[in-house]
Amino acid sequence: MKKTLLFISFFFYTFVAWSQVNGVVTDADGEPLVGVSVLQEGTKAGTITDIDGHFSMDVPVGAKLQFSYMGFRTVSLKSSPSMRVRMQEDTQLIEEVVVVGYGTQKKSDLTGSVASVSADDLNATPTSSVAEMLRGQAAGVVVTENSMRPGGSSDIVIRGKKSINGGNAPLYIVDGAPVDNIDDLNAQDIQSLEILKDASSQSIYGARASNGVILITTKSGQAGKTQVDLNAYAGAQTIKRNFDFYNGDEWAQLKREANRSFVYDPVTGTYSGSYMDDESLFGNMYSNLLNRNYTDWESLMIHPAVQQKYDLSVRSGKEKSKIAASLGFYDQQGMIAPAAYRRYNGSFNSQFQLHKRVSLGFRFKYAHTRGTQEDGNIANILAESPLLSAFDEEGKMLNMLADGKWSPLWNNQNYINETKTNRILTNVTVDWNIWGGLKYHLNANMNLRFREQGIYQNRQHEKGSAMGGIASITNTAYEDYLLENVLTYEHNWEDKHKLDVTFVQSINAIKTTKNVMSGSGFSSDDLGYNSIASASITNPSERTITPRRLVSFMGRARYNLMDKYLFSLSARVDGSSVFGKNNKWGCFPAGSFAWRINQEDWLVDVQWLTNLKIRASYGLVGNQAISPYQTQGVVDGYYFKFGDNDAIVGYLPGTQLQNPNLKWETTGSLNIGIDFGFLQDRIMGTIEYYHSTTRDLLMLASINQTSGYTSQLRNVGSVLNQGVEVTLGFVPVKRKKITWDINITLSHNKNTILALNGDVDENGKPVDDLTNKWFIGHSIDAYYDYQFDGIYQLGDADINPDHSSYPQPGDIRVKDVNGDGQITPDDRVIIERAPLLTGSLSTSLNCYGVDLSLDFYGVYGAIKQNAYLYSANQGGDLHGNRNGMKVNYWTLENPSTTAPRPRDATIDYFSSLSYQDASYFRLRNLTVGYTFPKKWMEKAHISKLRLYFTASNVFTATKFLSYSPELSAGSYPEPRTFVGGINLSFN
Amino acid sequence: MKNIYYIALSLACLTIVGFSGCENFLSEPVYTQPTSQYLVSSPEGMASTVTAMYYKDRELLRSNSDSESELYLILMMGDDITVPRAGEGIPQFGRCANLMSSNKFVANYWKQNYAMIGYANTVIGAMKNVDSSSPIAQQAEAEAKVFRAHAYLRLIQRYDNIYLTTTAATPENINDPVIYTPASPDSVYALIYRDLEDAVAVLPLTTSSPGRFTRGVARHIWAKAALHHHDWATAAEQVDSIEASRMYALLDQPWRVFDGADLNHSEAILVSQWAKAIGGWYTNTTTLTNNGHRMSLHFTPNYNQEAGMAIDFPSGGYPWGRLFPNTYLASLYDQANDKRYNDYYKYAWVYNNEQSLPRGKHLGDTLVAKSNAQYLNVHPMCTKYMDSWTKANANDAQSFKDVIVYRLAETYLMGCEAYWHLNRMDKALDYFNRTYTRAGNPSWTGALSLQDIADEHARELAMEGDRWNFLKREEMLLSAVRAHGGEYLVNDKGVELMADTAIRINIQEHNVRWPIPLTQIEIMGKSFPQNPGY
Repeated sequence: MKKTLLFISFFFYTFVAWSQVNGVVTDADGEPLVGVSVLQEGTKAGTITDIDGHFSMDVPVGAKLQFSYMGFRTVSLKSSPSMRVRMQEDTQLIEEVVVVGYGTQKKSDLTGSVASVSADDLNATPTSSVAEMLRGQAAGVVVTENSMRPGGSSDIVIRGKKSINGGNAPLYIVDGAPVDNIDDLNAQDIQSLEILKDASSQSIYGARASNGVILITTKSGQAGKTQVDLNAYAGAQTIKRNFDFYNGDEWAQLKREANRSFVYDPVTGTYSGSYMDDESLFGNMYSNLLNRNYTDWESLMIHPAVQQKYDLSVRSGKEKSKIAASLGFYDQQGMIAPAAYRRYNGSFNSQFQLHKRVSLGFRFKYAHTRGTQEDGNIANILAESPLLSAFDEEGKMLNMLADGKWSPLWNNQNYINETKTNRILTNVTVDWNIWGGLKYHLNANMNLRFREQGIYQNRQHEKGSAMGGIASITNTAYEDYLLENVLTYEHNWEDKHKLDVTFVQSINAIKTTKNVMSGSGFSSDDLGYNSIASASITNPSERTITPRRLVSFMGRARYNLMDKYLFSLSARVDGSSVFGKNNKWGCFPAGSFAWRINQEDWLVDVQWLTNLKIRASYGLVGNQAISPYQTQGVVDGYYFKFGDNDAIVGYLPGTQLQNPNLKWETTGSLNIGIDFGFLQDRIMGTIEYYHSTTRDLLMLASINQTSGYTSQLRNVGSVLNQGVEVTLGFVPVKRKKITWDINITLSHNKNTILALNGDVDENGKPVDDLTNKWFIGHSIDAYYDYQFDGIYQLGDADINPDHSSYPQPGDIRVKDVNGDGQITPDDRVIIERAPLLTGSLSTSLNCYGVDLSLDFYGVYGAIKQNAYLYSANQGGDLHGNRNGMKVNYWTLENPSTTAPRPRDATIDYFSSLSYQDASYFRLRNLTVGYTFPKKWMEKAHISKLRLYFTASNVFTATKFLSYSPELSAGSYPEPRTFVGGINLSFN
Repeated sequence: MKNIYYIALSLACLTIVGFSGCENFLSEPVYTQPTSQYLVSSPEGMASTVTAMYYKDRELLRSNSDSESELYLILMMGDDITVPRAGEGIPQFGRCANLMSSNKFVANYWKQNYAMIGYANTVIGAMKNVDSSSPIAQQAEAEAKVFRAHAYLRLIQRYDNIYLTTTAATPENINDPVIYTPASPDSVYALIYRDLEDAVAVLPLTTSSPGRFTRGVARHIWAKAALHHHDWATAAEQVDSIEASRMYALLDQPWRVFDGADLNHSEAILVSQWAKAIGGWYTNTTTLTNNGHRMSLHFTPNYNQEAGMAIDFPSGGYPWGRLFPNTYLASLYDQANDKRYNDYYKYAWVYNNEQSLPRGKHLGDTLVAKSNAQYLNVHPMCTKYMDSWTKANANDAQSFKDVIVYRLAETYLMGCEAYWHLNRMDKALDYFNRTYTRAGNPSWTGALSLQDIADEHARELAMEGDRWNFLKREEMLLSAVRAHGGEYLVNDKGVELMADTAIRINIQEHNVRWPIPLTQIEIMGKSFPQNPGY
């Protein structure tokens, strides 16, 4: 070998001029790189850099040198006597390859609409929910808070709601395995996350893809250096709201006003009102009123709470075997005790090269979670009157308040509700390089989740006290097995024609088994629900098994002509057990095309244009998310006890008549997009338009109740979603020590119901569904109510001449929309709830190791009903019975135009003033961090040390009065979180 | 290299497994619940359907959509002897204010009864699939027929115009074109009579399962239907048959009728079965909680909101205070001699909470109301549903006390009513005096007017759910409500303690029947008209 080298060197010496090259190789920050391989191109001559990044070698003049280094992009440079080589990290390369269904693809080759979100961006938000981390990260992906209780989840809707009864949650694929939820996934394990937004990229997931697909790939081992990462943060959650409750004095006055008479004197033509005497009005609360002994129920219930997360991971490997392992711990205490959530994660990913053509992969993920919940509706506590004491004079908590109702604090402290989950996701893959471009991939998945929920209302609790304690334990086992055979073939002809073909065959069996035990009548509370075996009354146990099975065949061909014209065709055929005998199978084809304009000869030399591509796709996707047994008509059991006899069981069908002909909901969607990048991608972006029509929507059609049934599920509805999405990225500064980038997403979606359950009115016109507030021609998300038009004032001409019933001064005026001179149900109007625009703006600045990032998120044009403004449960009814949001209510002395006159009776049209603009603009995350310079750390083998502080949910500008503009009144409030954290890596 | 063959082989096996048996794999096996086919293919299936129907029938007192037992209360208001306070449906039914076809109780009562008819049609239709000589099948069919007749009677009482169907709905026939028209009352009563006649032939006189239909129950419902149909002779015949069967007897004292959790006593004919035990309660399948009904709360005023008052059993337990007896009802009793005046009502509350006693008051003092608000908190109440037996403590809002649906006292009064119309005053008086004298009154000997019967009906059966129906069938509803509905009461200082007489003005001709539920009118189309006035 050495001899040959010598010979070649000699050969060159004879004919070519030689010179010595000296150089330094550094990374982008100017730090020297050790062990970079420097190779003269086309030869085997080479060297490696020393500890200072230096190299020196003799090469022919003008020879090209190739510099390569693990984790960095390989560069080729013309040699010169003194070289300074800066190598870029490989991240760019990783970004350029995106995971698509059943494979990966170069980003430039994409023909469909796929959004990628980086792991760093996900982990910037301190939360347990991956969905919440996705908020604002990709255009067209709208995340809405569902529950902000620790361990709670958020809903993800991709490009609008397409189903009414079939669900709108996207399909999650974790490392190739479809899973039904990602709430217990540790975000630190995620390597990359892709969102498939258009039908052509989704349709390979066929029957389950109509709501979009989220592909998650977890971190794998890497050959070469061993890397250990430690990430941790800890902080506090606090409450915030943008409204006031009534304080004790104000509430007492509200109660007086609510019980004040309102009388018209026909002689003088004036109104007057006299107050009741306080003693009989306040009854049991009177002494507290006299002593001004007020209770702030909110502060009794809500306290700041801790949130923390610790993650440790190791990645290592040799050429033939690679591993990645991680441990994670997440702990979030509730601001409302005893709500809390803890999660323990473990994962182990490995890959082995068994043979030069065969490799084996094994992935294992485990999660254990424990969540606890508070008792009852939070509104019950918040709406307690400040004149009611929670504690007696000796400071002991009262079980019953002075109004004769049970204390919600008492109930909460005598209540246990915990849910424990164990989840195992394992995945075995075999890759076999059969021959040439023909490859076989086997994917076998087992996804198991075991959940136990135990509830105990003890013998002091309102409900428990009546039954001697009530316990229930619900065990749910979810088993999901998937086997996929994937055959791919790839071939290039003269570098002009690239073809790859994929065939997939898969079977998927899912079974959910649920067991419920419950009982009451305990002799002691000590063991909580675990003492269920000693219940004196044991309820019949319950057991349900619901199966769901899917058989699929998929084929896809992608063709790339000269890197300019890209084509993709695919079709998936799915058979599902939940549909009727004759409608089990559905076929979901799709096609797409992209044209990389910047690759055209006439543009290749235009330097400022880095990328320009237009894309178009059309395809069909399905939705099978209906519950099993809808086609069969199963019956429910009921126990009945005749007199003193033992209970016997009987069976009856439900109110819904089965339909043996149910079939898939199918969405046909068109996507047109343009990708562009200017000035070396310093400015880049994507603009997309989509138009998707969902047909055969599964809807409950009302049937004549004289049949004994009330409804039947039928494939009758249709919904249209169309929208525009814009994604823009700017890098205004990109220097050695300073980078600044800005990313913007904007999405607009318009949802329109085209057809409903098929019911028609007497003229044969399709009727709207008033119960569910679904209107043809309007969004699925709509309200239907009278239109608030102010408050009737003293002296208004159109008050009721009898002066004793509606409308009186202080009553709510609603608009006579149809102008017929009276207010009838026809005067109600449709109020669209869904936002016109959602968007995000994130910017990050890196400057000499200091990083600052700001994430803004905004929703524009959303309308939301605010129960605090009218509902009795939330104390908004102005009856003076419960506390609620402070409003400027009407009285004889205060002729308000915004809220009616309080009274202890129904206020007509009250809900009409509850629709508020729920648009908001929020600074979601603010992070400041500092990364210590590498050279300080090297001796300790530390490759990265970063300390940071994150404030999330920092400020919100909104007109919507509540704890959060996304949550309904009375739900667990959204926290504002402050955490400090550390990212530490060793190698 | 050997390895690779093993791998290839195992992959091949997996693939074969993968491709085979698609159709079987996609069939949907049933593991834990029977299918509806089971219910109609065996006598046991039919009997099990009927058992569950008793459960569904009990949902009149508590269901998922009616967690406050409001519907059953609604059936008791809008008459001449009650006054409502507040609660859902109170304005529409308690004060006849603006009752509309979109009202949820109007819809729920329709739905409840047609659901029972649908189940009954299924059971009756299953007879053709099974051995019709099977005693189990025959018993099930007979009970189903009583359910069907009872549901049609309840419907025609409230809605007048109803749709008559005896066919079980299936996915196959649900889309058959139907022209919906109101059935003639004659055809409805013909079906009720036929069903009950069939049932009487099969059902036993007694049952070891209290709550299950017996011949007596069928005859009682038959008598009631006949009265509604103004078929006095049939009504009298059914009452006489019940009397002749000697299966029932009035209790000796009025207070005994509602005394205790278990009301399956000799006077009871049909009792809604409740117990704090499996099968005796309503189970909410979502929250997995077992619940009783709320009847005891409706009639108890909110005394606990007064200073010096705390919840205890003697005061009536946990209160909601929604419907009260009015002064007119009180005036119907001979307050000195008629035991029912004190047995069925509570008139006064005494201070029982030392902690919050008003100045100058002592424990045990009677609370005297000074204002309307206060009076509503200590309004006289009906004690028929009071329950200190099944509640764990006085604060408990759930009651598992049986609710009497029909009892012999009502049978006798129906007999009295029928014979009065047949002008058989001897028989009418005989039946009249059964309840009248039990209450401690001297035997009635003079002339008996329909008003006298109405008064005795009020005295005996107030707040048991029949008053509205009685007034309607005797065409007295409008006049009685206009004369006595609601309550007006002034104390000796001239303070209006009660001034709730809106119902007297509000009630109109159309209020003698409920509207057809709006959603159902829309589904049935033009051929089925809305009731006049709605």
